[in-house]
Amino acid sequence: MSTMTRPARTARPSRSRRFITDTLALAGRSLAKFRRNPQAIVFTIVQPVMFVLLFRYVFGGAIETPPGVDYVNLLIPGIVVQNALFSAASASVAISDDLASGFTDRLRSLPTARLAPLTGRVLADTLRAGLLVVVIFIVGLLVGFRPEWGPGLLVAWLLLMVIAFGFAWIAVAIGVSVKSPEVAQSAGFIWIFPLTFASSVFVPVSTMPDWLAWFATINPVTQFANATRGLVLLGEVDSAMGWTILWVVIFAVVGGFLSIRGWNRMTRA
Amino acid sequence: MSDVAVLAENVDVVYTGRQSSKRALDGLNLSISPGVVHAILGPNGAGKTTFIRVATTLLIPTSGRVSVHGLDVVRQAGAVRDIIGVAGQYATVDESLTGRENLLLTGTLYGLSRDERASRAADLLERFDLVDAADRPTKTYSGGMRRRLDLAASLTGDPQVLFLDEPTTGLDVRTRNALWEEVKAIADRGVTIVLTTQYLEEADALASRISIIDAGRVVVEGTPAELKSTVGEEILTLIPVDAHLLGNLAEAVGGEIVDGTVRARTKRHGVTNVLETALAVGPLSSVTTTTASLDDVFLAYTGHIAEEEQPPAPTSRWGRRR
Repeated sequence: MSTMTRPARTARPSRSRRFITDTLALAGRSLAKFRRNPQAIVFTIVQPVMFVLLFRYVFGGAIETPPGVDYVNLLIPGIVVQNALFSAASASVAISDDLASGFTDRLRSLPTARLAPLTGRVLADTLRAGLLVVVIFIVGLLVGFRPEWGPGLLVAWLLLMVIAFGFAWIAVAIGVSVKSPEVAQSAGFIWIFPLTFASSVFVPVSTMPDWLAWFATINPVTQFANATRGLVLLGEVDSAMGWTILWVVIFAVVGGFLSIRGWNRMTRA
Repeated sequence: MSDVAVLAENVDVVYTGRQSSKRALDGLNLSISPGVVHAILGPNGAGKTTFIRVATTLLIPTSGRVSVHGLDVVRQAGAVRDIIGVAGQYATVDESLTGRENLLLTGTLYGLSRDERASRAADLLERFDLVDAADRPTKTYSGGMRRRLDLAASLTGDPQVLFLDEPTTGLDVRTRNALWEEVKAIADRGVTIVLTTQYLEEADALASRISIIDAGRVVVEGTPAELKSTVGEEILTLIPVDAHLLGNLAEAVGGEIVDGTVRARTKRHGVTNVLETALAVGPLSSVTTTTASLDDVFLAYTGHIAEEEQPPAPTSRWGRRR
């Protein structure tokens, strides 16, 4: 029968090889989607720039800093953390969109490596966060930010991508468990505001009421911001680094577990 | 080589919600031969899409078994995905990628080498008349172009069995006819095609076998001609020479008057009897006979008329329509 006489296909690559190939292909697809959407690019960049300008010039003068430290130097390492989180959070909407549009169904009916749609997305958002951090860093330099030039900057940049990686898994877990992109839009971002504002990102924790200061101190975002500041302002590894790594591991493991569980459950009626 | 391309045995799918559960497939049995176009025809909610989701490894059935060329869709899902292609109601192409990039991505996911996927993409673009638009983002494509690209993508892996879930829902007539030609061309190459549709005309035009399903099970199956003859009615439209005899004629043959004609239904072997009775009333100026259409078959077996509907919202990942 003619159906069976098919051209021989080249030998299939191994499973792990295909996992890597598929992850890269799908990450490339996600990044292309971003790259070719000028609106998305503009809004992704305009928002952090607005935050920089707002806090640098409007609120900055009213915020007390330790003697000899410019507010802008504390602000920029904080804002890059906030935006690494924002960038990661967009994974929830993207995952949810693909589920609603049927694109995920297509991927899952192909011999795609099982988890590649998730890992591809996380990889894309991690790289995008890395890019956004560079943009904010440059804008920061223009408004008076003066880092300690040295290898600490490179370490900080990698650290921010690691942070984005951990949070992206939480975002993916949200994306696979909500029922529509609209819900993902609110569920994906709502937790970022309390987390970033009740932290040391914009103001010193010591100015907050006791109960809030308590939350802000244990808030992982405070640890992230302080670890980043240590690296970019002093070129030193701050004591917050340990907590930062611990939190990132927790987010990646819990988020990864929930994501994969939700993903595998989709085949159930 | 297996004798059966797709085999479904006693397949149940029960969606369990928080408050209620819904039985989407209820002991579905189906056997699809290799190399044919087999239509699964049924009203909305009959379980067509659910069946396609099970057969394409997207949904694990509550009980029962489905295999594609002898490969179990649950236990050997990976191997099944290698030999099937799926194109759906919603052209699932990435809007920001170009047509070519969509095909290259699909080729990568099928595990094709760089050269293989480039040449496959080029072939498919040519075959589906998308060469001019190949390097434009697909968001600039018309509905028909998207479906063609979707169809092309589903052929990237050179599938043995192609599942088409309501491929023409929501398309205008011209685009639909063009897509039918594409489907016929794919079938001519020996690919088994499993097609779901709610359009009788589509099943009649494309399929050599039709299974009518309703409420999650197959109610009747056969060739289009067999199905029409199972209902077996001929409709005779008679016009008497003398219009005053319309009433008498209708009474004699047990028919009804419609627009100056008398319409009578009869079993096929009853046609001559009706004509004799009619001629006894008076001479006729016109006689037309019509065989029951698939519409009649559909109505007879499902108890409702096939709906012409607007395309529903995309299926959510739970397989239910939102």
